[in-house]
Amino acid sequence: MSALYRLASLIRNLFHRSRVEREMDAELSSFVQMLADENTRAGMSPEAARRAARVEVQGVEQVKEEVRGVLAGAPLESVVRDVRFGVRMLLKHPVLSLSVILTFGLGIGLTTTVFGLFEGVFLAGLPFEGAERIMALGSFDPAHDGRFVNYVNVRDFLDLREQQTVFEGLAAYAASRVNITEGDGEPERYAAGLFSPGAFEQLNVRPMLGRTFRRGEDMPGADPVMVLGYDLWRERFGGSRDVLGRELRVHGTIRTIVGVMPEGFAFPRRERLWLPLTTDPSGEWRADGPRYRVIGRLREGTSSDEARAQVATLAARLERPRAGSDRAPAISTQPFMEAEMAGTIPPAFLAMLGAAFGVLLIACANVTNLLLAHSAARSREVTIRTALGASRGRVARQLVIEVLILAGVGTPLGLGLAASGLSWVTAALAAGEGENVPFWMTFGLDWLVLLFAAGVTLLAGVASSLVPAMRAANADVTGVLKDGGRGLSSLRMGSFSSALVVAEVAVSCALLVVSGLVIQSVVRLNTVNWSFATKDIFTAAVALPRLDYPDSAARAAFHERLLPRLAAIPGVEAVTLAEQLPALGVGRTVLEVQGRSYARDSDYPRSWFAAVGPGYFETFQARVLQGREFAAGDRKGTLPVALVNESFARRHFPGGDPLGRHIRLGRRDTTVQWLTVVGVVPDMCMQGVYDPTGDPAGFYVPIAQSGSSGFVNLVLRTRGEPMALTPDVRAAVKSLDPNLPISDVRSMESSLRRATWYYRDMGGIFVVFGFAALFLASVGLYGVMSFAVTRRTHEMGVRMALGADGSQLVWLVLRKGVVLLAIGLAIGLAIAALAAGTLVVALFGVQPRDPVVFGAVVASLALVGLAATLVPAHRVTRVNPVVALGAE
Amino acid sequence: MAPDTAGPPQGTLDLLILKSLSLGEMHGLGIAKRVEQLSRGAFLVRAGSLFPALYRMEESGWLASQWGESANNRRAKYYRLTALGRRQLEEETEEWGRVTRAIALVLGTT
Repeated sequence: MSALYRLASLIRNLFHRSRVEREMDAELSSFVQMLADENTRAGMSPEAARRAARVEVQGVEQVKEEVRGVLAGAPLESVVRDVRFGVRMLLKHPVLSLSVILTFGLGIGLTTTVFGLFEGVFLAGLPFEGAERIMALGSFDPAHDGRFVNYVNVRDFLDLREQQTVFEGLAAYAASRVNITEGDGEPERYAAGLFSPGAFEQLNVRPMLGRTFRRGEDMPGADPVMVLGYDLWRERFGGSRDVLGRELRVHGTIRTIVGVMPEGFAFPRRERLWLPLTTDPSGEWRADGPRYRVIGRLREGTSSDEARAQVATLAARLERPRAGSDRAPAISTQPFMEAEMAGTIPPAFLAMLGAAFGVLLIACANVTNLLLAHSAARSREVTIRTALGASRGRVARQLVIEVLILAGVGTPLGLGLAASGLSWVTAALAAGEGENVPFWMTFGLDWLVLLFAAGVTLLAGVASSLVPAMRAANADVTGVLKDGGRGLSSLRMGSFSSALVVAEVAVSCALLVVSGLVIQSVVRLNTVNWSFATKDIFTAAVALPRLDYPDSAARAAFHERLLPRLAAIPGVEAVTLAEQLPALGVGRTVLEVQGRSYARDSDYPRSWFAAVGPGYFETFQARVLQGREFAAGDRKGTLPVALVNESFARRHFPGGDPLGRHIRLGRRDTTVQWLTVVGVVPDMCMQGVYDPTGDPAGFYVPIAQSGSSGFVNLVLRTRGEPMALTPDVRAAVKSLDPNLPISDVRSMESSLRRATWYYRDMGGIFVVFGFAALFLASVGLYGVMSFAVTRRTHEMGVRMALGADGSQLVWLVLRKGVVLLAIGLAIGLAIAALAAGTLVVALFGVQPRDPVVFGAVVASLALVGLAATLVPAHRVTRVNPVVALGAE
Repeated sequence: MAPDTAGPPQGTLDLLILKSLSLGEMHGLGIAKRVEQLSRGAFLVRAGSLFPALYRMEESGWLASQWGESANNRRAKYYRLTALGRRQLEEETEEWGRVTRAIALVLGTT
């Protein structure tokens, strides 16, 4: 009850402050008046009566202050007063305030951006209700450094599904891409999720229309059904509700639509539709059957430890994978997001996190320094306030509040920066990775990111004002006042300020080296000589469904018929097929060179290999160095042939003629036939742009002889705009098979750009960090040096009056700056040398200790630093001794 | 005013104000005078402690106030007890009784 009254009073006191004050005034003056009246009645003169009354009250102002002290919200009130005073002080120093605001904005913005990325990737998780209870099954694989690998053999999955009691259920899933035709519409290729029945239930999502998969629909021979994703439903069926029961041709099978999923559901990555995952329990797959991802939702009240224990126990009792093998599969379970993200925080990400906090550190150091400089100048105000009775705590609080105000004003700036940064990353990811970016990975200013920004603001504000506040609170009152206002003792540039400048220079030096390396890597990337034509090349993918093209003969026949039709398209100069495109990743295999003997399995060499069609090198305008390239005649039934690249030839046939030599895939017990080398071709970046091996050696086999999987890229070289070929290529494919779509339609140039987005965009981020650091460090240096000069105006005046000339004075100032700069650079280079090592994964063809970059950074930082010192130093020469001596 | 008068003991000002107001509404000076009078001049309430107490008690809902005319035609703010204030007075009186009895017992003066 009483609390309610207090609350009402609090609101009144805070919002009707002036009315409360007026009432108090009136009441007290009436009190004094009545006291005086009494005194008059007792016989005093009116004047004496009033004076006596005032004396008795002992100061109206003090009484008012006492009353204010008990009013509800009194502590809040004093903070509000501090804030008001703070705002007034800040408005009086607009340049200082603005630079602090900008500095905070930059620091907060960059850290929030990086946190937003981190949150989107690692913290946000699946957007389903109770998603934290979704577990993934897998095993800790010794072949992967004991990391958790979330795949389970299909037979193990089926057994565990029957036996387990800790999950609501277990479900397996996989991702695939399928061709879809419907009526007369254009065939299209879509990412499809293959779900065992129950997967939707484990994820806790319900269809928007119809149903999901029933038990039994995963058995071979069951009625073929499918579930549409929201977007596909809108695009292909205009969002029509009577879509249920309609039929679509999906990869050669007619399937009935039984459900539509709600908007935003695209599990596991960016799937557009879902098909039942067919699992045949009678299949003899225990040893090397397919492996799938398996998920289960923990039962209510079951802990993940209990689940792990049961899964391990059950797995130990599972049938052995091979007769005689004594090792049961060591299956375990992990929370879904942990399993998905296991050990994948890339070093570049950590470097980014480090860089962002580096910038924030510089920002805070800057603000601290600006404040130290400023608070020294303000020491008179502070000491006067102290002398007038403001407590030391109050003085310190005042300063912290002022900085927090500035940080608060800087925050929206930082949030704007973060918002645009995150949307830029989203766009870059979508352009670079497309369907590989999981649907739940979204970046934006959600509440967690905002909370982080608020936290950083508070932290940065308090951290950067702490030392100045402590200094201000401990200011020597009598010392400053006695000093005739010059406050020499508190104006000395402390070693703390110097240390901050050194730290700033060091951190920005490290950041600049990192961004310099990345810039160089981007430049390399843009000027790389690919050794094959990238201009005027059109590529598109065609995938032949097994139902329509059951064997490699059928697939080869299709390819053979397709090539002439593509070649007949006007403007096309050359055409070929390739299972893998150059520089975009090929397979790696163990091989055997005939005539060599290998003692152990591990002695067999490994090499890149790709399956390509006839005319591949001609299409990419790569000169065949020796022998010939594949021709239409290299098909099933003719001599099995291979082409080796230069590096391969050098490594495996040193000094000899590779032509006519034999190689084969696999080791000695393989049944694969020997391939005859018929040509030597140039290295065409088979290792791809993210090369973990540093090994360019590789060989090629003809698609027609390699038992094609059915997936090929069509490669056409043309005159003019390659993308203009799209309708003609689509039509050529359709003329052979009306159900066959083309997908991944791109120019070779854009494919390469896509493949290298990571380098480019990581590069972009580091460039931003580097320049932010450079900017902040130079502002910081300038601020400190400039203040040092101003503060020494008096001293300079004296020196000048005593006959020192301009250049001597400039050197005096410069010396300090140069020393700080040099120490900072030395430390910064040491940090950079350490940090650069971890960055090697984000660099394309650049050594992490690249001397050019290190040199350039040192030079530019020294230059900027010197400029920041020289400008204020130069001001010294213009000091008029007469003015200077009377200054301050 | 006798020089040996002092403010009321710690924590009893509220009780004294409530008690004075139980007889009817009164302005600030009136309350101070009434306390002085009821205590036969033993307690003197100064403005510096009276007004903070009045504002605090009003904010707690024990007192209500309104402006009126004094006997000498001065505008003054008059305070009166609210229902909540009356209950508070009863509670504090009872509490005071218990405390004084207990202290008397301890001191062995009864």
